[in-house]
Amino acid sequence: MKGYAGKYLMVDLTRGKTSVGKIEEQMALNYIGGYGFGARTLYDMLPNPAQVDPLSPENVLIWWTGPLAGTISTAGNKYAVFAKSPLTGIFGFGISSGLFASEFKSAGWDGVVFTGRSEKPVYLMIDDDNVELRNASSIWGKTTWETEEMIKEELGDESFTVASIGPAGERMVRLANITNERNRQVGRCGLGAVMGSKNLKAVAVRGTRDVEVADPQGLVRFIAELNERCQGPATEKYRVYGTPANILVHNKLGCLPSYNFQKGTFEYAEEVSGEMMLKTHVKKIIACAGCPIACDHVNQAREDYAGTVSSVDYESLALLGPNCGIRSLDAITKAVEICDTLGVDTISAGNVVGWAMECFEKGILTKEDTDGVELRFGSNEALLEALRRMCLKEGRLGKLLSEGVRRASQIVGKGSERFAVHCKGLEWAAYELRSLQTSTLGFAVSNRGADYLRSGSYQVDVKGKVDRLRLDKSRGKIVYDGENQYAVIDSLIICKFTRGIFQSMDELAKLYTLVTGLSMTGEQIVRAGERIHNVARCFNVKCGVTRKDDYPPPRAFEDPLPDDVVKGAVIKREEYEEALDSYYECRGWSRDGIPLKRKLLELGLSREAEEVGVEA
Amino acid sequence: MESRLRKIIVCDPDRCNGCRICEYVCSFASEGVLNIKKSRIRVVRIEPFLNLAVTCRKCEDPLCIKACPRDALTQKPNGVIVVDENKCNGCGWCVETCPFGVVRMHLDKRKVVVCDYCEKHGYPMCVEYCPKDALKYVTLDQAARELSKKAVQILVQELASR
Amino acid sequence: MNEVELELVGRFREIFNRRSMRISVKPGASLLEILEELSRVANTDLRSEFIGADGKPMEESSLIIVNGRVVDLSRVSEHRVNPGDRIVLAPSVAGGG
Repeated sequence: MKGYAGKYLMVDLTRGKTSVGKIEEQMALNYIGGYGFGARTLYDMLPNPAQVDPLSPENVLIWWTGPLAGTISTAGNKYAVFAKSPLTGIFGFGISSGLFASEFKSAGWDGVVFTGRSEKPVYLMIDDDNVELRNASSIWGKTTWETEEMIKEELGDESFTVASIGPAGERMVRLANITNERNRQVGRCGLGAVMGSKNLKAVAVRGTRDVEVADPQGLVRFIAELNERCQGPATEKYRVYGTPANILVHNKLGCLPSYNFQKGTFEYAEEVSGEMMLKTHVKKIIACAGCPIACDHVNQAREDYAGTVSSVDYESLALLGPNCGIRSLDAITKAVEICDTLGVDTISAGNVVGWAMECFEKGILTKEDTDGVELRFGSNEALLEALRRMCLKEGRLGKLLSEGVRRASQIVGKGSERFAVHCKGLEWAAYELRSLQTSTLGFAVSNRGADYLRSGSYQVDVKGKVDRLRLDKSRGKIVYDGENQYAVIDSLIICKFTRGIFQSMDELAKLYTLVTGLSMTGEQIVRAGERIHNVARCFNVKCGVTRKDDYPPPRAFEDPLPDDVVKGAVIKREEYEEALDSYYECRGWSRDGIPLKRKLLELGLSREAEEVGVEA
Repeated sequence: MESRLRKIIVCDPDRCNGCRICEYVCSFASEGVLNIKKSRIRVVRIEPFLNLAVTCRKCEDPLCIKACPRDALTQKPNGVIVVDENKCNGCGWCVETCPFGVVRMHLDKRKVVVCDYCEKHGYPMCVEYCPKDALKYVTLDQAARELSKKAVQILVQELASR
Repeated sequence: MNEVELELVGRFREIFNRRSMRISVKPGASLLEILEELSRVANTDLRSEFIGADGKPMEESSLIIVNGRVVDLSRVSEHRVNPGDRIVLAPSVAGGG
C-alpha cells in the first residue's frame, strides 16, 4: 500500500528508547489514518482510561498523519495529536497543518507514540531514519517561536520543521497547546500540557525521502482539477477576508458570542470585523504546504502594541474580542501573539477570560482574587494581563484561569458554574448556543467536548434548511451524517475548507485510492467514519461519559437572548431531549448514549462490543 | 536574437504565499516523484511576511559555468543550463557559486541538478500549477513592463483620491 | 413607501461599494427578482453568488437573511419580499480557528 509510510515510531520517554511499529493494510482500510488511527490506538493503549491521570507518565501521547500527507493532495498536509485530555478527562485530540505533516511523511513515518515520562527535558529529533531524543534544557522556558529558531540553529539546518510547547505547556496549564511554524496550532484539549507533563518540549523533523503514491499521474491530474475548483466561489470567502468574515455575518444573525455568551450581537462588531481587519491589519495571507486556497491572515498591530504580528482567525477574533467585550484589533492581535508564543489555545483562553470577566462584574471575583487586575469586559489591559498570567500560572488569577472554565467555576462556586460555557469541560467555541440550535446539538455530543469540527452541524442552521431557533427530531440525523463524513475528513486528513469543492464522498474515496492503491468507495469510507466515531465514543464511555454529559451548559436553557434579531431565543428542554433521542437512535446507541452491542459488532468492533456495548 | 527573447520564471512576492505547490509539482514533473527536496524551484519563507519562489534565471554570463572545474555545465542558446553527468563529480562548487542558490545537489545521484524549464513538458509546470499566478514565464522586459504598469496604476489611483 | 433596507456584508460591500442601501420594490416581488434588479444596478451576476449553474444552492453559497431568518436558497424564487423588510446579503459561514 502506498501513501502511508507503513511504519510508526514508539518512544519510551522513561527509558529514553525508541522502536518501530508497523501499519498493516487492515488498519489502513478500517481506520484510514489521522483521527481513525488516533481513536484506535488511544483505545488500545489505555484500556482503563478512567484510572489514568492525564498528567502522569501513564498517559500516552500519540501523533498521526494520514495517507495524504506529503503527497501533492489538495490541502492534505495535516497531523493530529491524541491523549487523554487533562482539560476534559476524556478523548483529547487536535489537528494542525503547515508543512510539518509533509516532512514527517517524507522522513518515512506515519506517526509516533510517546509513553512514560522523560526525567529531563528533551525534544525528539526525526531525521529520516535517524531518530534521537535530545537535551532540551537550553530551550526549556522559551516561547514556541524562540524554540523553533533555536532548534534549527542547534541542528544546523533551517529545513527542519518544529512543533513545540511554550511555557504554558511546561507548566501544565490545562489549556496549553502545541504550535508549529509559528501560526499553526494543535489547539484544543490541553495536549500541550500532556507534552509538558512528559518533559517533552518539541518534535523536530526533516524528511528527504520520496513519498510514494499508487497512481502518480492520476493523482496529479485529479489534484490539478481540484486546485482549479479551489479558485472558484466555493472558497472565495477564505481567500479574501478569511474566516474573520464570520464576525459580521454572525452579528447579523445574532449568533456572535459577546460578553461571555450573554448576548449574540456586539455593538462594536464593525470595529473587529473581518472587513475592518483586512483593511487595516492584515499584512499578508499565507498558505499551508500544498494548499491552493490560502486562508491564513497574518495581522500587524498598528498603534497599541505596534509591530506585534500574529495570525488571527475567526475563533480567536470572536472569543478574545466580542466575547470579552474587546473592540480593538490591536489588542486582539496582541492577545493572539501572547497565546501563540506562550502556548495556550485561544478559544479556551478567550472563553475562560470572558467567564472570569462576568464573575468580576457580578462581584463573584474580587480584586483580591484577581491579584488587583480590574477584570472588566472591554478592558484591553485586563485581557492581556489575564492571558499572560494564565500562561505562566502566575498568582491566584493565573492559577485559576489555567484550570479551564469548568474547574475554575467549580473552584470559585457562588453560582459561577451556571455561566461557565462548556461541554464536558471543553470551552464552547464562537457559535452561539441558543440561536444556532442544530449547531448546539452537534457541540454537545461531540467526542472531544464542545466542538463543531466533528460535525459541522451549524451548516444547516445558517443555510435556512431548518428553523435554527428550534430543535426537533430531524436534527439527530443531520449531526450523525455530519459526524461520519467529518470523521473521514479528519482521518485522511484534509482541510475542511475544501468541503465545498468535493462533489461527494465518492470523490474523497477516489482520492484515497489514487494515493494508496487500496480500493475504496464513498459508502465504505463513510462506514469507516462511523466506525471511527464509535471507537472514540467507547473510549469516552469508559471515561464515564453518558447521556448526562451530552448537554449544552445551563445558559443555553436558562438565559434567553436579549438581542432584537433573535429575541428570547433559548433552548427548550423537551425539544433538546427529543433531538438528542433522535441522534442516539441514528447512532444505534441506547437512550443513555451508550453504543449498543449489535451496532458495534456491525462495525467490526468486537472488543468494544464486549467491553462497552450494552444490550438494546 | 535568442537572448533578447529569453524567457525566465519570475515570482511576485505580493502573490506568493509559500504554499510550495510549485515544489511538489516540480519534483513530479522533473523526476516523477513527490519530494519537495528534489524540486528545482525553491520556496523561501522569511517570517513573518515574505514568501518567494526562486529558480534558475538563465544568467547571461552564468557563474555556475565559470565555476565548474570540469566544464560539466554548459548553456543552451535558449539559456537553459545543462549538466553533463559524465563529467560532474559532485564537487558542489557551482552550488556555492550560484548567487540564488538554485543549483542543487541531487539527494540520490550526488551530482548537481538545476531547473531545465521543463523541456520535456514544453512549459514550466510550476508556472502552470501556481494557484495564485505568482509565477510567470516571461521575458525580463515583459516583467519590467508589468511592474511599470502596476506602479503607474497605483500612482494614478492615489492622485485621483486626493 | 415600497422600500426595503438592504444590508451588505463581506464581498457584497465591495460589489456595491457601500454598507447598506434602501431600494424600492414592487409589492410581492420575489427575492430572485430583487437579485436580478440588483444585478443590473451593480452590473454583476448576483444570482451566481447564491445559485449554481444547475439551479441549486451551492455548498458554500452566500447567504440571504430576511428579518433575521436565513432564506432557504432553493426557494429564492418563491420568497416574497414585503416593504419594510430588512435584507442582508452575506458570505457563507464557516470555520474556524
